[in-house]
Amino acid sequence: MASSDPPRDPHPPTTDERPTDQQILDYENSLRAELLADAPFVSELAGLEELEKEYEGGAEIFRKKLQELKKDYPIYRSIRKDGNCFYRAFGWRLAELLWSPSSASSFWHDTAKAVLISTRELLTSSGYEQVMIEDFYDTFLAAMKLREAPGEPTGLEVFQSEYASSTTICHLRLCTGAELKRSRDLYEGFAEMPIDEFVIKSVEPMALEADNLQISALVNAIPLVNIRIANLDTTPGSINFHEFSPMDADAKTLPVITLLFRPGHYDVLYGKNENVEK
Amino acid sequence: MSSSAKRLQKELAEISLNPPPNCSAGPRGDSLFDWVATLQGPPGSPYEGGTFFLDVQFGPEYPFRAPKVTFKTRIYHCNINMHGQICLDILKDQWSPALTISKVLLSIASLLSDPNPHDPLVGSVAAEYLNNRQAHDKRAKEWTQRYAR
Repeated sequence: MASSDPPRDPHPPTTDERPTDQQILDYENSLRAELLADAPFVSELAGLEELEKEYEGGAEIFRKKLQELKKDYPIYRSIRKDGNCFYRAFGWRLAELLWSPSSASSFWHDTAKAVLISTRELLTSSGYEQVMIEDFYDTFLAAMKLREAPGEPTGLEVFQSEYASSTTICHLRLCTGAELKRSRDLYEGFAEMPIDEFVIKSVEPMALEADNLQISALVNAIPLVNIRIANLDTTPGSINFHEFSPMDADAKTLPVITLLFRPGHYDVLYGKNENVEK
Repeated sequence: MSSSAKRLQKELAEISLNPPPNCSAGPRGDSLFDWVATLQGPPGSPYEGGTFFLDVQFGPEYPFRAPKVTFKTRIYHCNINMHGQICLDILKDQWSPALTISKVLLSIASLLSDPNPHDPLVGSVAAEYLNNRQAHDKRAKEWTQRYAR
């Protein structure tokens, strides 16, 4: 064919038999939706025996570690397995701590309120556009019961409503991204790519799980709690914990959130003496 | 008004006030969920001088799900097929609710300047882009003249 011919059509329709990316994506979403349809975003409280049941036929090491864990953390809540579980678990526990009557008039509660209200500035100073983040921010504060939002869900409802729940998670993701950018020197060595790229690829998209770097950043973005993560894995010996504490806060004075980690998933654990919202 | 409609109103106000360079976008008719966008071929690219029309469909789950964006104007590009479907990460698994239609249009404009032949939607165009860039650019210019003027 001479190059002066009219433009050749490089897309003969007959070769277009593969599903399009959009179709693949829709299919994946429908599978995920089907799989998760009945799972609550945040479950009711359950005894650790429920978890032990899952491992009845499993490896001895899991059963041993769960038994050991149960002595100190007899209660848990399962979090929906949709890739947002770390952020959802964090948001939920933060909300529970804020709603708890015992924290109502505490110094921690006042600090928490100020810190959470200031997250808007954290985001705008990292380059997020105010008009786009406002919806997330407002719903987040309402979820934490720090702002009256007539007609909007508050408290527990937030964590049961898809939109409000996603919005809260999105706000926490953006806070994580903002902290990574704000203190990039601190984190860059741990990301396998430039921080801005890491934030776009591994923090901002919904349904992407958090790893150590995101967890460290969120703890520093919202320096109100220590996070203690129990690893249920097959390494021999006792169950091991990873601790994350904010750098610029007096960690000893802050409450501790405990999570259970199994590869790719986080659930919430409650200690023996913890006050839990029913 | 639903939360997605509220968000779209904000984006509309924003893009009308501060449109990204060489782009425009807005609702086709009465529905806030159905937009038309235009993109001027980026200067220095074989698409220069062309005006490309795009269809933008937002779902009720916006901004938690990406909008569906397709080219209505035919274009010779290894990441855009004959149905106007675009292979771009932020329209798929890299979508984030922090993105806006403005940012999406900017990303598509930069895809026109810098095709990604290593993740092609149209293999033959990608191969030509890699093996015979001159012929590729010539054909892309011809298509721009023919379909986008």
